[in-house]
Amino acid sequence: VNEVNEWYKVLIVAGIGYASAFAIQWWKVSRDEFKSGIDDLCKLIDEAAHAGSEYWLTAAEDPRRGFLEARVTGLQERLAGLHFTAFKRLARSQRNPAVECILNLMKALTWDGFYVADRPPNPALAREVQLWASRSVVAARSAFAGSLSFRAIIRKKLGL
Amino acid sequence: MGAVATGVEEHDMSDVVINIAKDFTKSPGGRYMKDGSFSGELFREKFLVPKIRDAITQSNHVIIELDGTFGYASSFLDEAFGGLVREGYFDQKTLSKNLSFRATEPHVKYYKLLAEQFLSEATENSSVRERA
Repeated sequence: VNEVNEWYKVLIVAGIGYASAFAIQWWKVSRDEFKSGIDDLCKLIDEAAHAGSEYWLTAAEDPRRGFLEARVTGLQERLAGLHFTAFKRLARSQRNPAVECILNLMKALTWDGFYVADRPPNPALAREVQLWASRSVVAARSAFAGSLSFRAIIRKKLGL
Repeated sequence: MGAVATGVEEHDMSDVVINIAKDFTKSPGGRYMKDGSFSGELFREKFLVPKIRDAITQSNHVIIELDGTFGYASSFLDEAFGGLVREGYFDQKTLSKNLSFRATEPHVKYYKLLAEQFLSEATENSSVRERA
């Protein structure tokens, strides 16, 4: 009887060990996934800000203007798509600081004068693009920092 | 719903659906008609104002479908939807009752947020720059 009890103990300890290792591994994978998502989003924000401010500073006769216009439009689409598909929890609320900042970035990227062939350069909008891009990066990193805890990941996985 | 113009889909007894890509263009432009083709101002004057007026008189609801285009300039969205209030066509209360947006593609949901924000922030006789 004692021998059987010992076997049970071994099995229980092994089970607990396996479950713990699995939970830790699961958390690490989720954390890395989040981290990679933050990095992708911030990289895209930087890219959009660069293209946007270059577009707004471009002179009317500059032959690159058409290309930059298309580039800004494309980056805006990617920004909207990545933000919504990869980070649904963050994007769910318009009041989320990161969502608000990215909305403001998108406003500045394609505001008045966009698609207007003969508009003069607009340094104010170029600055605004950079400003909201910086704020978006800070807000996105802050929002995700709060999502990296074990508790936050469990809640996310369980859909709470 | 007989008064609904050709090209605009009837959804049910009380909904008039305007799909921007199908009914207007797949490539929306900038803010004003003078800026080029398919501007927000043109969309507002040609589609939105008449349809919303019809909807109000017939106690219907207008749904704007944003899917299917090659993206939107923020100036287009602001002029089309914010302009409804700013230019004095309708007040916020009427629009909240008679107008809503629909977006199913993930990235388009962002434009929906933008359009809703422009609409809610617009005030009658305010200038564009005040809200920029």
